Amino acid sequence: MTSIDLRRDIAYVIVFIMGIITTVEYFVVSPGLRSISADVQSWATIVAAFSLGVGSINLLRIHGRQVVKRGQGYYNNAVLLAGMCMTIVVGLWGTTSHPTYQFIFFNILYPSDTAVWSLLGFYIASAAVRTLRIRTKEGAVLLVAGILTLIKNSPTMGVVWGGFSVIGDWLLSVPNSAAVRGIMICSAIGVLALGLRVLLRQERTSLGGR
Amino acid sequence: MGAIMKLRAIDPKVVYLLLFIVLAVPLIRPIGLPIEVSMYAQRFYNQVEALKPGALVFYSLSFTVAKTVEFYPQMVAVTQHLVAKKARIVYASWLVDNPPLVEKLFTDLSFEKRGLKYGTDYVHLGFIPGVATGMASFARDVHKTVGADYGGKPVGDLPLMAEAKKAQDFVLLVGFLSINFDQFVGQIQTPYKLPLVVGTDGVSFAGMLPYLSAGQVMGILNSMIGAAEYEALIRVTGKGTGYMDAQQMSHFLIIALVIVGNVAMIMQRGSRRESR
Repeated sequence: MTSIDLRRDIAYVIVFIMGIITTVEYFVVSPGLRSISADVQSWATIVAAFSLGVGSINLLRIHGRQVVKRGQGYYNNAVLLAGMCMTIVVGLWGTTSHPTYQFIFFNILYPSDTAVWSLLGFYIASAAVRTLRIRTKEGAVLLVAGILTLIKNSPTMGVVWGGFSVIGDWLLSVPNSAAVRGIMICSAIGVLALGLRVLLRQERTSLGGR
Repeated sequence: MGAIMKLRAIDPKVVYLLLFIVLAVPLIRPIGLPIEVSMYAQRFYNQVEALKPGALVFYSLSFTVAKTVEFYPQMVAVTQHLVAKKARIVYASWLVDNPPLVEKLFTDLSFEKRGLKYGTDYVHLGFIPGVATGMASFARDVHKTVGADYGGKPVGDLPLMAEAKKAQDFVLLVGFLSINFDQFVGQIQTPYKLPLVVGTDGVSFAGMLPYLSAGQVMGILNSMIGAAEYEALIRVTGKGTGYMDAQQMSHFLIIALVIVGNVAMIMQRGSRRESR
C-alpha cells in the first residue's frame, strides 16, 4: 500500500463517519448525536473557509507558472495575479469595509461583471428574433409561449388586458412547474444516489481516485 | 413588400442597435409605464406587512455580483418596508460577493440618519462559508457558527444577537437568492418550518415556482419586475420602476421584430407558391 492509498483510506474513513453522523442525526432524536453533529457542521464551515485560501494558492500556482514561463497571453495571467494580490492585501490589511476595498469592489469588479452579464441580453434578443419562427407546429407553440412570456414579463400589458396575466400565470404555474418538479425530483434522487455511492466508497473519483 | 422581406433576415447588428436605443432612451428619460402588481409580489408584501414592531427577521443573500442590477432595487424596496415596519434585521451572506452590497444598502438608505442603531436594530454578520453545511450549522446554533460580525465585533457583544440564537428565533426569512436557494430551503426553511419570502433573478424565477405552490415559499419577487411591483406596493418610485420602462420597451421591440420576421417569412412562402 502506497502512502497515497493510505491517505485516501483515512480520508474515506473520515468521510464515512461524518456522513453517517449527520445523516442518522437527521432521522433519530438523540441529544448526544445532535450535539456531535452540530460540532461536525461547525468544523465543516471552518474547513470551507480554508478552501478559499487553498483556491487562492492554486490560482497563484497555475497563473504564476504561466507568467514565469512567459507563455501565450502571460500578461493576462499577470493582471489576474496583480488584481488578486492587491484585493487580498487590501482586504486583510484594512478589512473588507475599507474604502480601497470598496472602491475595487464597486468600481472594478461590479461594473465589469455586470457588463459581461448584460451583453448576454443582446445575444438572447438577437437569437430570439432569428429563431422564433413558425416553421413547424412545435416552432409555432414555442413562438406563442415565448411571446406570451415576454408579455407576462411586461407589467404594462397586464394593465392593457388582464387576460395576459392569467395566461402568463397559467403557463408558469402549470406546464412550467410540472417540468421543473420533474427535473427537481430526478436530480434529488441523483444526489441521494451519489451521496450513497460516496459513503460506500463506490464513487472513487470523489477523493482523487481513478 | 421589399422592406418587409429584408426584415426576414435582419442583421444582428441592427437588432443590437435598436435594442440599445430602446434601452437607453427610457433610462435617460423615464416614460412611467403603468405597472400591474403580480400575486407573487403581493404575497411577499403581505408577509412583511403582517410583521409586528420589533419582529426578528433573517435577511440573507446569495447571488453573484453580475446580478446586482436585478437584486439591488429589490433589496432597497424590501428593506425600506422592513424598516417602516420597525423590524429588527440580521443580515448575512452565503456568497463572498455579497457583504459589500449590504454595507452599501446601509449607506444608501441612511440607516444612521433614520435613527437605526447598529447592534440593537440591525446586525451584519457578513459572509458565512460552507453553503448547505454552513446553513445547517447557522440554523442550529448561530453563535457557534458566526463568532464575530462583519466588522469583527464578537457576536456575543451585540444585544440583538442575544435574541437570535437559532433559526426558530426568527419570525420571517427574507432571502435574495439565486445560487444556493435549494440548500436554503432544505437546511433552514423546511426543517424549522419558517415563513420564507424570496427575491430572485429572472433566470431562477421559473424554477422557484414549485416551492411557492408547495407552501415552502410565501412570496417571490421576480427580478426588476419584482422590484418595480414592490415599489408600487410601498408607494415609492425607485430604480426598479425606472429600469422597468427600459426592460418593457426591449420586450416590445423583440415582440415586434419576431412578428415582422414571421409575417415576412409567410409572405415569402406565398410568393414562392404563386411563382410555381
